Amino acid sequence: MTRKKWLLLILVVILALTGCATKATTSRTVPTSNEINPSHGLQVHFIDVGQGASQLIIGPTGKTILIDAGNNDQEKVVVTYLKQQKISRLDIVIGTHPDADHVGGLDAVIDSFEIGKVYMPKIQSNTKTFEDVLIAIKNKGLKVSTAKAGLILDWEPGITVNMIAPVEQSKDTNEMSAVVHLTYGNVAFLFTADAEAKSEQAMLDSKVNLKSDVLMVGHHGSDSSTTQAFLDAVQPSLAVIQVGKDNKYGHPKKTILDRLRASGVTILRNDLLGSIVVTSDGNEIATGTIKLNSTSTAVLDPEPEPTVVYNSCAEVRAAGKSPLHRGDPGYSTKLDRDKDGIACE
Amino acid sequence: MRISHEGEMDGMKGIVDRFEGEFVVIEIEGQTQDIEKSVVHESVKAGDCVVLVEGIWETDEAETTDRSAKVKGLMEELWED
Repeated sequence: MTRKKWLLLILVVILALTGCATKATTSRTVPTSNEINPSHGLQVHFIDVGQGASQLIIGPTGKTILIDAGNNDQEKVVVTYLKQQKISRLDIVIGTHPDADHVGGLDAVIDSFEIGKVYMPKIQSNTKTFEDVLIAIKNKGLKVSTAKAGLILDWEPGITVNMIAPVEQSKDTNEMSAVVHLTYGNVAFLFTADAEAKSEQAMLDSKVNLKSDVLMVGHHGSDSSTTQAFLDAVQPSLAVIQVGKDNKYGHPKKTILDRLRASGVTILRNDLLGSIVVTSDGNEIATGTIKLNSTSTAVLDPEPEPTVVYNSCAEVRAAGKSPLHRGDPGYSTKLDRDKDGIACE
Repeated sequence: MRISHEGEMDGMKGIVDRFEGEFVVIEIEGQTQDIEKSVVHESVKAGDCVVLVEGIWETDEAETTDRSAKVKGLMEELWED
């Protein structure tokens, strides 16, 4: 099937304050945030986390993958988004690289959902943000598998999930980005995180299959990524750019937008559209966007956590809840004198 | 203390998350902020613990060493391969 034959539908779904959806109707129905139906096939959500990245993948049988979770200050947005998708378990969590705009929200995600396997490249960041992610993993009794080229991730039958980068060890966190190539029937997706020119070249040299219908554009559309050679190998029909409105870095760069347009690629951007959903039955792709009403963060958090406050560790012990871990109801830094994420040890 | 840059004060501490174009992204009290390269010492690298001295962010070598060792230890504990 040629790409030209593909049906590309745009659906704009505006979630009203009440959470009910109004649809701009087209000739075909695309699943929306509150219409999860396994028979619809594969769903890929490019969650609007402002200047950062987060992708949720839901397979035909309901298995899930979360790639990144935006910046620290976006963690509520991501957790709420996942809850709205009726997610209770993430079978695979990938922290593509330890930069704060990618892994920042992962600690809250790990605290909030049942987690299967965790993949992260073996490269360190010294931020508290990254440390918090590690502490959340530790508190949950999970381990981390090294993200690297050559891994075949065990996920859904009929869907191939290959990790194709990092190919080489680098001191640059972006170049250590985990890159995922997912194939479902005749359709393929490429999730590139912040891989830059050097990693793109390493992927090209590794002769791995890069061809993808949907490309998540590398590094938020920075001109350090999406080299012409890489784009030529991927040959996407649709490009998604995860980028924040009016970001200081000038992402996406005009050079990259021009390069994508010259290749005839349709560009969808989170800063212009909000969260973007791409669905596929393995033959065709369809796209839709979800705009959460952003007038109040309260709208994004319909299920507030129950408030539990302990005034002292004596109260915690009396309640039989000690020790408290960061993320537990009632945990506070006030009770955690050494600030190691465990209170009333 | 004196105000040096966008309300930041001498003695403030941070950890460098990454470099992004003309900015150095520094985590201050758990939140990342975009700091112009012009007020960050040229020897500062990603992962450094930094302190604001007379309006310029400089590496605190001792704190960087301690912090690197701490996070490295956590990673060694958690990675299974």
